[in-house]
Amino acid sequence: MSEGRPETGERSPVVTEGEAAVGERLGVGIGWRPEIDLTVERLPGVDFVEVVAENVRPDRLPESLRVLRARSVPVIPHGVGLGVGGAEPPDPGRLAHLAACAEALDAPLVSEHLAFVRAGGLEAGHLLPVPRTRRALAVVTENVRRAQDALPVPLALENVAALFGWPEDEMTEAEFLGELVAATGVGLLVDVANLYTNQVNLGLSAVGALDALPLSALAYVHVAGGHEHGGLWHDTHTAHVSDEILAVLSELCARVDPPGVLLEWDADYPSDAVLESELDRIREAMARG
Amino acid sequence: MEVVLFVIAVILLGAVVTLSTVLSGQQREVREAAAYHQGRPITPYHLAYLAGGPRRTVNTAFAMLARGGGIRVARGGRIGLVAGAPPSPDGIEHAVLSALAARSGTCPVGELRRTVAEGPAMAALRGDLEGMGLLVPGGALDGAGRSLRRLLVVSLLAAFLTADAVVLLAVLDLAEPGLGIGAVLIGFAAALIGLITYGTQRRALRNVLTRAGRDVLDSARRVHIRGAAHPAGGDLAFAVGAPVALYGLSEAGDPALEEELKQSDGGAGSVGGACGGGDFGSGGSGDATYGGGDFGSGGDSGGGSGGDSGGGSSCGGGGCGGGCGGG
Repeated sequence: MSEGRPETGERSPVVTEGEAAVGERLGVGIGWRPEIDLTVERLPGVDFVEVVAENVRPDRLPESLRVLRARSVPVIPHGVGLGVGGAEPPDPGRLAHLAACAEALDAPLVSEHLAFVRAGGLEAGHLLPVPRTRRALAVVTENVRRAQDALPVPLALENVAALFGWPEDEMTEAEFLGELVAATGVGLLVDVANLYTNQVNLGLSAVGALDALPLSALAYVHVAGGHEHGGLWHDTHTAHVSDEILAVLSELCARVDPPGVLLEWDADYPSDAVLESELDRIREAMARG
Repeated sequence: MEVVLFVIAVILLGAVVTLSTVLSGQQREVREAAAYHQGRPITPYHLAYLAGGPRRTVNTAFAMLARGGGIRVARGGRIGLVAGAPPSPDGIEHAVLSALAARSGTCPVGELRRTVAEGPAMAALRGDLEGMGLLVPGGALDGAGRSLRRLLVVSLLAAFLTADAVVLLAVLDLAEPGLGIGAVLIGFAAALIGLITYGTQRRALRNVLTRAGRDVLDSARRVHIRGAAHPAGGDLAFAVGAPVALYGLSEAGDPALEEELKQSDGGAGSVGGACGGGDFGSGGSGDATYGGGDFGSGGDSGGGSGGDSGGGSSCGGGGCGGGCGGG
């Protein structure tokens, strides 16, 4: 996993072009889910949490999130349905909801996916990869700018895991994100599990992606576990984080000091002790980087 | 007329006294006839059933499993199965885990409590306690129940007679008013004694502990003092199981857990049955009557966080799966 490491061995500073809050120190966190709300409140060393924006009502925040906010734990709304990678402009209602979540939670930033989730009135139900062409980049750039204008806090976009790529792709995902960051100043949410998924399923080097991604715009990092089945990696968020994914995290940490790293676990929740242990493994992987 | 009233009043008083005596004898006979089969280990679930019936028993299982990492309690009173937790050899705990597994791993606490309280594992525990001579076998107090109903009828008749005699005394010019007044006083005494006895014996009949059962409970309460501190990491059955079994969820050592299980209770009537050592007054526990102490106000918090947060999303909320990625 060491190929492509920066020869200087020094970590890049987190540069925040026009997005001052992207780069705020977050620490190590975990995805807040209602099933583990008390656990998240009690886990030692949880510096920040992330909540799926579509699952909360800003005017009626779950008590657990109010408790966390009262303790000054940052809560980041994480959208899954905005679809900034779509051909159509982002829905103003969804943007307003994301903005309201950010304000209700006094969030330092919000995050979404570089993906399209609907087209022509049809919902895909999945986070689909964007065709990485110049024409698509122009559309997505405009979509991101619209989103930034509607949001009261900086926006960070996450790389997705994909089971396929578009034949007309002209750029790698890293190049596409690099151009997008340069054009809009949007922050970057790097999901190292997604990089690993693309490596296993599509043969795209995770370390190579790290070398090409604009890590200077890094807002925070996602880490999650999954399962290998039939030669494919399934990014299920329901298992402990594999050593291979933690190695990608270490590689990332060798290149940049990430403002935050967050564990995603979405079902089949293990014991509090196991979740605590997973956070410790993440810290160790960061220290190895 | 007044002579007839006087005679009837005396007969009713005699009937009340006789029935009360018979009733006490029947209860005592049944409770003391059961032989305690010592030598078998008493578990926290035995104690919980004796102290608070099925409800306390299920709550004890909740506390033991939650503190032991077998289940997870979330805000709003949702209980979830902890992935990777080992199966439990105990029947009640196994019933909790099985009921959760049958509901995709998560369930509101009230529904789960009802399911387990009314399930075969609870019936088996009760049978176990009857076999050990700690609980009165089902049907053994039927005779006492019949006597109790007769006592109520006689007491009401005495009350009716007393009212009649008062009216006659006021309306008619009786030849022997002394007998009329005597009939009123005796009838009133019969009604009063009968109804008081009915109330106390009715409560006693709800208690199905044998004398040995009461002794076991009292003995356990002497070992496990309410509010005693337990070192962390000690034996879970001793530190959590027995205290919760004897005194309720306030002894779980986890106020947040207690709060969620209390708030989400569906109400005292949700688990039927009759049990508990309250009538034996075993030392001020205050919650020994079936279903009493565990739930305090019995409020229901309603949907809780689940309602706020929905059931997941295409990614990040549980529905992602392999193809979604991205999250």
